[in-house]
Amino acid sequence: MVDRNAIIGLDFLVIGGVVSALGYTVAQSVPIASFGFALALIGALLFLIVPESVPHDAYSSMLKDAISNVELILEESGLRSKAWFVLVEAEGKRKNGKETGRRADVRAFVPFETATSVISSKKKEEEESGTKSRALTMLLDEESARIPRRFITSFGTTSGLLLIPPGSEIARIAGVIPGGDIEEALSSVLVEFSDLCTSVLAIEDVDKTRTMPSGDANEVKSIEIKISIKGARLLSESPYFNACLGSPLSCISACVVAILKQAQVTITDEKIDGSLIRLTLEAISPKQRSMEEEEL
Amino acid sequence: MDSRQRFVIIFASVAMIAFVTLAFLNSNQMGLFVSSYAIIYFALRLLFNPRMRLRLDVLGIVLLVLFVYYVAQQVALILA
Repeated sequence: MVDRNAIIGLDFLVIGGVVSALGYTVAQSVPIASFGFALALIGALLFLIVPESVPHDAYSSMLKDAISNVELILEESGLRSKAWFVLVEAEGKRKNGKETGRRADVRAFVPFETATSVISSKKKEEEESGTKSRALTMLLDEESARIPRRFITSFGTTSGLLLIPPGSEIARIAGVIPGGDIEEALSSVLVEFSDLCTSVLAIEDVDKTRTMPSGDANEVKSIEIKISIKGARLLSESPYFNACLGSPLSCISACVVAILKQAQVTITDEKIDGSLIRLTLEAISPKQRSMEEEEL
Repeated sequence: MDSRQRFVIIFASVAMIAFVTLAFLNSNQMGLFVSSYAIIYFALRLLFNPRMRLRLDVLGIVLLVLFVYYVAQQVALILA
């Protein structure tokens, strides 16, 4: 169905074109012709620009409701630990009777206890037993990274809640492709697609290693990403949500980075100064084994 | 008002200001008008980057072709 903008645009385009042509040929007046040309240009723009499928206010209030729901769950659970944005494989939805295949969705895993305390307790266990804890090394392996999709779940050695973060669907619909440029993707999702801020800057630092969440630094490739979001139009006043998943825009950014890097992402630092958000994300993925290691 | 609406409104306003100014200056060159619209379009497109129905920027291509045509015409006139 042709929308209202397209009809108005076509009207302007036709009227502008006629005025321009008549002005140039019949009246032989450049100002009239150029006025018609300007009208045609405005009409073409109205026709070509994609209208909003859902009004911005409606979309913003739905996002706020989703945040309130997550806030209720977190408040009831009394959780304040930082969430891990993880990728889970989901069944493709049926479209015209055909299965669209499997796709990766982002879920927020909020641990019941902080990962650091888990690691320190496991390290203690290691020291006591003198053997390397198998659970730790297995955590980021492909086999163990198959995260259950239930509400209360355990990921490796840690138990926690698995929630759908507001932003998971936005990142998917906006067409974020794994391996793309972070700043470009964030700008595309937050500025062009959802119009939730005015600009985004991102800096990536690759050569960092950390023991989170498996506790085995040799097996983990860690990337630190610093993001600056200007002119944020959506902020949350939910304390539990902010503590676990960050501000709404940070949460969406984490979802985008999780898809881009195909990694587990957490918000390590977040500072909100009016409409300016400065956040640091950490993306952790299993390190690719070298050929020598493979042969061994 | 979202960024798409802002883009169209700002383009329409700036294009009309350019038209009135050039018409007031008694400019009788179509190329001048077209070039100014093209510059305004590309500058605003870069600033707002709105989503278009078509992947190919048809309007941008049309304006660029017209801009190049008028510039080439002026260059040829100067050289001749």
